[in-house]
Amino acid sequence: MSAEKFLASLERWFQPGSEPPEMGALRRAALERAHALGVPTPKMERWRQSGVANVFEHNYNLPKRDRLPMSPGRCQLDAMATTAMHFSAGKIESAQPLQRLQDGVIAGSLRAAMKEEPELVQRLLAERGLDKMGFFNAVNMALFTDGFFLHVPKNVVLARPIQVIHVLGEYRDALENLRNFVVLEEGAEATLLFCDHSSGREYGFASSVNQFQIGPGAGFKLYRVQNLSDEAACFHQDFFTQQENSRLFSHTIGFNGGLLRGETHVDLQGKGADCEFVGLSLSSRGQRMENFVKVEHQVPHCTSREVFKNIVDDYARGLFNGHVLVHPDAQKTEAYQNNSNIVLTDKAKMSSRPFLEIYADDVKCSHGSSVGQLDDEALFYMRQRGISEENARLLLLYAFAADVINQIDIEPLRRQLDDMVKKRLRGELPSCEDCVLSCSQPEFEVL
Amino acid sequence: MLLEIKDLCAGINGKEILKGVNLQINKGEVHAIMGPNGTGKSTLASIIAGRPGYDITRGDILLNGKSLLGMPPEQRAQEGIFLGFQYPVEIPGVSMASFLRAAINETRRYRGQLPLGAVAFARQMKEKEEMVEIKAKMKNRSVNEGFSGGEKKKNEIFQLAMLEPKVAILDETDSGLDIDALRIVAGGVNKCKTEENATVVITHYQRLLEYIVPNYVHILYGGRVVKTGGRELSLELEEKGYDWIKAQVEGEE
Ligand SMILES: Nc1ncnc2c1ncn2[C@@H]1O[C@H](COP(=O)(O)OP(=O)(O)OP(=O)(O)O)[C@@H](O)[C@H]1O
Ligand SMILES: [Mg+2]
Repeated sequence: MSAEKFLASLERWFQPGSEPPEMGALRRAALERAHALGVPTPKMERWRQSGVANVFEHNYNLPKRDRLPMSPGRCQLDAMATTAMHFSAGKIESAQPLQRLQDGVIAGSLRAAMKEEPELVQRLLAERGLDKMGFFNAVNMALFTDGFFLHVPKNVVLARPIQVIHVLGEYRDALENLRNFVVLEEGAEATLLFCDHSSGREYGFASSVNQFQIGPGAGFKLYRVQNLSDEAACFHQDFFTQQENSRLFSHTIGFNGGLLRGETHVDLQGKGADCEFVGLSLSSRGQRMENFVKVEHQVPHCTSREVFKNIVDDYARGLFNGHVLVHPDAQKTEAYQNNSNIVLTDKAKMSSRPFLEIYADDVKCSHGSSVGQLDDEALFYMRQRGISEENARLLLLYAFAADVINQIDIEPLRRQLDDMVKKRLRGELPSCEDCVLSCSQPEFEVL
Repeated sequence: MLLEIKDLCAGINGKEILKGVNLQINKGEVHAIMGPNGTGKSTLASIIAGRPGYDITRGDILLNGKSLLGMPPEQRAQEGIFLGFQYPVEIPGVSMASFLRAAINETRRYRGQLPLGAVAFARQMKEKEEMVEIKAKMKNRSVNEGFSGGEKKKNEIFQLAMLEPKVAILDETDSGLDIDALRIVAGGVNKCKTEENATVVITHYQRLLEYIVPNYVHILYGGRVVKTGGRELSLELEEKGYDWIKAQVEGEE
């Protein structure tokens, strides 16, 4: 399979079906956009050193449901008292795909929402102009089968976090496109947990485009846990728009996956908006974990903070590409960007490129980046006290990861992810075939 | 004999530092090692503890007759070697409690003992705090992080008390301490002394030896022990400096 074949094959998948005609037109236009753009290459700035080219080497199949997917209940974080929504093979698994929760909150399948709330959804879908879409975004628009939809009306505070589980189907060369929409009206508050998993050991590619509109004074928290097999590729693109005095907290941990690429695009459109991004990527073997973050400060008095960490082991590769763009009007901007990394072997690679582009003069911006090994002095100190080299390394790695974990403000989730991180560092956390999310708490010796 | 160092020659990065060190240390003894800056005192301590990177070209180090040279540092620690660092290391993110508990339980496992549970561990912390009169106020803080120089040194002694080694080698544990802290640190070291273990203090100052009274004082110079005496030797050094030693050694050569 080549890039050209990939493009040509899109036509084969393109079946607008029973949707309203405007939707069909939108998909058709998106497909044309994808053709016009052509597939990304590592020569392009956004894709430098990315492992994404590998996804064009497969002959994809459309979502199939000939095998029963992993049971959704197994992934649910009971202790969190979440509302869970489960997607597999590109579709929601639910007898009631669209739920009316408290106070007019609508949550569930985007496809169902398109039927039940056509105006609302159509408006949202069309909002982000096609001319801004990159290749994978356009492909996603043309092909998405479903997605998660959440609308929180004005001043409504979502009582329980919603957990959205996506399991990449258990069939060979899967290509699944999901499109998720979250709209928080003025003063609304919500917490989401996105879990991306795969249920087989076949190659598959999950691509999601997520649009988050955060209204004036609204508060949004997004947690994301990714644990896929080494065969799977998972690429998510988050697009956030923030209105005045809104708050955003986004927290991502990548545990496993052949390719995990996360893109974050933030548009700070209203004064006083605040956003924070925290990420931890734990890669080993031949895994590739990539974070691309672009924060645009459009208006004055906004703040943004990014802290991304990578531990890169074996012959894995990590990538951080962060760009903060401060527009001329955005005085009194505060932007902080940090990427710190531990590279454990000679064959592991980390590429870190933090970048500030500032056109306003009254701003406080800083960035930092470090790529290093474990501290030999600390290792010797610990070993001198009788701690084995292996455990000393574990303690140091855990210390590096811990401040990311400790920023999780939902205690049961923090405990669970803490447990998973410890397991991952000990090499005991497989991808989700064995359903690590509901595993019991074992006794630890050091961690 | 508890610890025996035989004709130890060692260097680093092609530089020869130790040129035939001999030392014999018995149970219940306190030895002081003194000597001008840069003569290899810390190197000797590091090599006993097994710090990676040195080339041992000749000689041996025996603990209870067993050679330490082939052992990794953790095994030497588990066998009973403790090194009080001249510059204790800060380990951000690793709490004192989890660090010490890992150290104690790995050592216990090596010795065929059951691990200490959380309650027993807390009890031992408390006992040792009282014994050495050093508060591990830093239990939940990261190891040495943000500690003052004196706090770091006190913390070394607290760890010494917790780990109960056979041979404690304390590298300039007195440097940077104010008078009260010196008394506390020295008192802690003395309380850790038993008939079964031995203490080696590396120091530049007679003052510490007023508190921790040595049975032997060794002068390390030019990578060798050039003189051994009783505690009066340290008084002589305090008075006369090292020039007479240097002259004596050079005269011999
Ligand atoms: N990693 C190294 N590479 C090269 N030379 C080294 C290294 N470490 C120590 N040395 C040298 O070895 C010699 C002995 O150093 P050492 O630290 O053992 O001295 P010391 O007796 O403890 O001195 P002080 O009293 O100042 O603490 C010095 O000349 C020092 O510069
Ligand atoms: Mg020294």
